[in-house]
Amino acid sequence: MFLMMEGAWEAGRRLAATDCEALLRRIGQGDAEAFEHFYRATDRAIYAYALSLTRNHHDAQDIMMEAYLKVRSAAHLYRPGGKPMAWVFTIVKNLVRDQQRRTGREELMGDCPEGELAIPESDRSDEAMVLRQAMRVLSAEEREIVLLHAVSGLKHREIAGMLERPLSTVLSRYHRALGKLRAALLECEEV
Amino acid sequence: MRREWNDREVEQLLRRAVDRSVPDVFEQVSSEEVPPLLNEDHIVPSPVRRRRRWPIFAAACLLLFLAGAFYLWMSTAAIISIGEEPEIEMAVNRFQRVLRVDGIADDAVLGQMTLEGAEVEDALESVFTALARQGLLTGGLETPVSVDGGSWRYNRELLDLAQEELQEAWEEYGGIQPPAPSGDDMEPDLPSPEPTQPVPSAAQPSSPGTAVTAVPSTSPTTVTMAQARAAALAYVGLSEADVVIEKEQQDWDDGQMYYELEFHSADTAYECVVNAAGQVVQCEQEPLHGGGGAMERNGQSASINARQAAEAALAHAGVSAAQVEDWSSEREEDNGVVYYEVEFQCGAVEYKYHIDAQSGAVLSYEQES
Repeated sequence: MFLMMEGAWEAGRRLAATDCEALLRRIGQGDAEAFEHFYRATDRAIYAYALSLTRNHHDAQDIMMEAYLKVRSAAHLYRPGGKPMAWVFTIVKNLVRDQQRRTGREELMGDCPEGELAIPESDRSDEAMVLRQAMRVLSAEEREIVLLHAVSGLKHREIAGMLERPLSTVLSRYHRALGKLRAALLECEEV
Repeated sequence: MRREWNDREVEQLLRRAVDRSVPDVFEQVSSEEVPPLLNEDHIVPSPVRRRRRWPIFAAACLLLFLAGAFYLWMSTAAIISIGEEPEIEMAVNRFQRVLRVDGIADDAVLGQMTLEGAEVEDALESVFTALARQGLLTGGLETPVSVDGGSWRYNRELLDLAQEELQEAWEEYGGIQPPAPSGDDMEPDLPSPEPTQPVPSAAQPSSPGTAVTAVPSTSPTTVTMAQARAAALAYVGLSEADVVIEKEQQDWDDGQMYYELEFHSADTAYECVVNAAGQVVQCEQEPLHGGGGAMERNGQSASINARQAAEAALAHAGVSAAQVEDWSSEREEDNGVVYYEVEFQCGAVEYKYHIDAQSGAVLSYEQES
């Protein structure tokens, strides 16, 4: 199971590095097969980023669905030569902001209230603990950075460009976030 | 036992947690009808192309360089002042180029010169030469020359140049005095310009004594050859009847037009230079040996003068005086034969004639395009 998960993540990384633009171009032409290929390669990345922003599984799922619908409708507007996944993640972020505006939670942008995760609270596995702690102990930006790099496969430099932060800031916050998670895991074990 | 997690392991745990959490919504998102978005909205971002900064930077650097170079070129680094008042001020940039020349001197000194942009050495040579020819270097080598505005070293360099050019001009033209007024009149009594008459188109040379066709002035402010002749004769105190004109030539030097005349009386040979303003800027004379030697006392029935030789050549060429430029007529002798060598240019054709000094006949001619 672990190997399968790792394989899926690696496959996503490979797609992000290669023909993502070609898939978007074909999606813009209505190619359903290209959309499925794109979906299978990016669903974890998009979900993880949406989760880092919403701290809530159900909201993240809604955002994920809206993001794919938006990709299908706007793929023809994507201009080649840029960073396709950054384009997609920006759509995700804008959808989250839009959602918060609609629900009157705009003033909380930067940190949504913690909600339920897909993994039940009773699950005491290491991965469940670390994800739960990521939602609790990390700041909004730290969550973004950690999940964009560790799960979505973006490089630190790409994250810096997307968040409009200096690379050194992204690197330091990333390692600080991982340190928090390590410390939180230790605390959980002692409990 | 407490487990120590490293960064890689934490990342791995996160990925596993997401893998367990990610929903499969493919069916919902693939089956729903979505119209194509016509314009980018507030959700779909506009990809901002990263501008290549280096062309902008290079262009900015080039602009700065050009602006700096232009500023340096147009900035006055020093001012050379010539004369007491001073009569002439020359603004120079740091590259020894003249930016501007202002003068309260007579327009005859600066009027026909284009000194802006010239190298300062050439400009100084032109100015001092013009001043010297006009007899305006009254202070001689002591003429006040100063340089201000630049660094000590640059000022010194320009001053050395100016003084060198002053010395050269004085050595070459320094003896020239402005023409003195004749008698009770303040101005020399120059004859009125001779009327311009068309040269007969016949090939035969005109006989001595026919009406003179004056070579037209090159500009309304310059004298004619006839006026220059009259000025030279007046300068030496002779009339046209007293002399034989051997050479009358119009020439240019350093942008200045002048007339060169050679004539002799019974006992003296004269060489005069008259500037475009009709002033005699140089006049040398030397006694003739043996009472004239090969030179005949003037008798217009026995020989023609340089002007008449030129008229004969023009007539033979079928060219009017108004059509020619840069003409000259000079007395020559070869194997006992005295003749005038007349040269002139009409359009793209250059003419050269040998005119017999006794009869005025055309001895030879050639023309070249």
